Amino acid sequence: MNFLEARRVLDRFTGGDPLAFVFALSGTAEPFALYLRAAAAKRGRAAQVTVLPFNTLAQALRRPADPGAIEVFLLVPWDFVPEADWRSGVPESVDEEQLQARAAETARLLARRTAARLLYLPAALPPLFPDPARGAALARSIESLAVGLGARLLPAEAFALAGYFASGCPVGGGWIGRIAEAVVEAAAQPPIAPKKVLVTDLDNVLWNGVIGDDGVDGIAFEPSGAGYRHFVYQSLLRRLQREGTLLAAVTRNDAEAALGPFDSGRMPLHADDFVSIIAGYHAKSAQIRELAQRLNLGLDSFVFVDDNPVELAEVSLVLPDVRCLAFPQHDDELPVFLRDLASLFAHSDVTAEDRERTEMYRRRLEGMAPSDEQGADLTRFLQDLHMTLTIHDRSRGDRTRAVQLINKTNQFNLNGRRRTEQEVRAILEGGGRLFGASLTDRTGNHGEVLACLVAADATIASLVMSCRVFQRRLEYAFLAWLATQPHPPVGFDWASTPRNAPFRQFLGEIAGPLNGDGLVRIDPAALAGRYAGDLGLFAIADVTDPR
Amino acid sequence: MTEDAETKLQDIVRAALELPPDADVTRARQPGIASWDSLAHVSLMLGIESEFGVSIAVADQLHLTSYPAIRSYLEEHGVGRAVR
Repeated sequence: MNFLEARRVLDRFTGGDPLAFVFALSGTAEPFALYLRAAAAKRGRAAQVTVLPFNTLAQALRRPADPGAIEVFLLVPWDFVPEADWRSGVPESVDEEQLQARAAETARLLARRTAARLLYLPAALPPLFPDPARGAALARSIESLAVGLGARLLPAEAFALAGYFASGCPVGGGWIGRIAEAVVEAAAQPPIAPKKVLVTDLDNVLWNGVIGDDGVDGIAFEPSGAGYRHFVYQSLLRRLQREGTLLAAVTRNDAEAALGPFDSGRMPLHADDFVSIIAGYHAKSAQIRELAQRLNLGLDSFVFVDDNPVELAEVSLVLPDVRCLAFPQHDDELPVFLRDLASLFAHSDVTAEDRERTEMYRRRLEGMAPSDEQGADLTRFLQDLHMTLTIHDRSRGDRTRAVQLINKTNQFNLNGRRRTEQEVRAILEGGGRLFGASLTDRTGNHGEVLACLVAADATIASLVMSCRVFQRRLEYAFLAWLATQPHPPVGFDWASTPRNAPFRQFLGEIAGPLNGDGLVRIDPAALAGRYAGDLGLFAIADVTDPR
Repeated sequence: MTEDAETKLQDIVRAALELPPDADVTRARQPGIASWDSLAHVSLMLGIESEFGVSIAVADQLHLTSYPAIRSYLEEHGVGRAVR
């Protein structure tokens, strides 16, 4: 919005609901007035803006916030480090530790204003250090403090040194309209509901690995190697819990497996740091909703962290008020993720009640059983994943990965039976078939995630799938594909194990109620028809004719 | 300077200095216009930057205190020049 447009908007504006807010800026705020009024008018609001006198932001921060007032802070680096103010010139020397301490003090004062809306303009800093790298590090450090406080980052090029020198207004004419719109947008936002509950996934989030398949000794959560970022994540959660955040875990596991790592006593977090650890195989949205009802807390106070985009989509679709965050796949993404997460639970003071909150709420949840409600229909989301299933005939050639999957998968496993290479070869030489299936989608390549061994008598002797790809309907799609092949399978060699509840659920759904272990018969033609829609979710690639 | 650019500049000056829509601003000078105070000057400079996509240095801002001076400055910086 440029100058003349702002004037035209105001000329046409006939009035609207008032939008009263304090615009806090350490420079001169008056030049914003026209643009702020116009930006509000575009939203049908009549801006009533109070500005701070020039250069008084630091003093204002030390006064308590008016609980009835909306405050919008437009922050620049020298609000954190006054020595970096261009209008003061370049200091002869600076004490880096002192600068960092000042910045931390300002951040602490800002954090106390929990209802304030913050915008941060990462303006260039004057050269403060002999080594430019230290200046760059300071700039990054200030920016991370601002982001950690939940500030919205503005484009650095909006800063205009000429305007700042001339009038004390840090934003030039080319940007002032857009920055004013961001300020008004922040002012018009409904009050930010503080988050109270952090619901976290376990496998590949709280630790590296899949507890159901890898066991306690096969997962990593310690400050070394693959465990490092999970260790850091756990340590942040531990701090948040001590400050009053309620932690809960929702995992596709059975309870005994999920609790194993906690029982080891080697993790930063312990089971009693959580108000509840919900282990089951039904929709995570149903577990979170049940938790919210039991805790008597609004869903808008919940944050959900998971590494699986399908789980995140399912919760988002059913519970749009829950803030969903993806656990990063790469270490480089971890700092921003942790900052964002911490900022959702920012608060000013920690009270004795905050420290005891987990224990208080845990009592309310005693005896809570996982909900078995259905989750969201994810068809649309799954279509948008553009999944490609590549089915390989592993009856000949290299079958290392397929045999490995059969021997390491516990949860989605037909019967838990481990098979040596010799046993598999014997079944194949007797007329059996072995299939592998690899999955790729727009989130990446998941590798070979399914193995299926069909005996010569057309019964499925082994069927396993990695739990990393749960919820994608892959198992149904594969079955539908297999059912349309020559010599389709007519039964499953089923056996219940302490760990294979997900397979029991799947088999019960496709074949009806199960009566103990043994052969479970299926009608391939019926299954092919029933799950054709699931097969349609995938592009089937590189299918080798399975004889 | 093109006619469009000249018209736009006159609109900016009138709006920033709160002058009537029919005021002739082509000879406007800061000392002769009561509303051309320091705040209006900042508003005028930001308005010019915003509309013409220029960044005006502090030293120039201090000297752009009349319509002719602003017009010359913009011409020198290639703003509103007719395309041949």
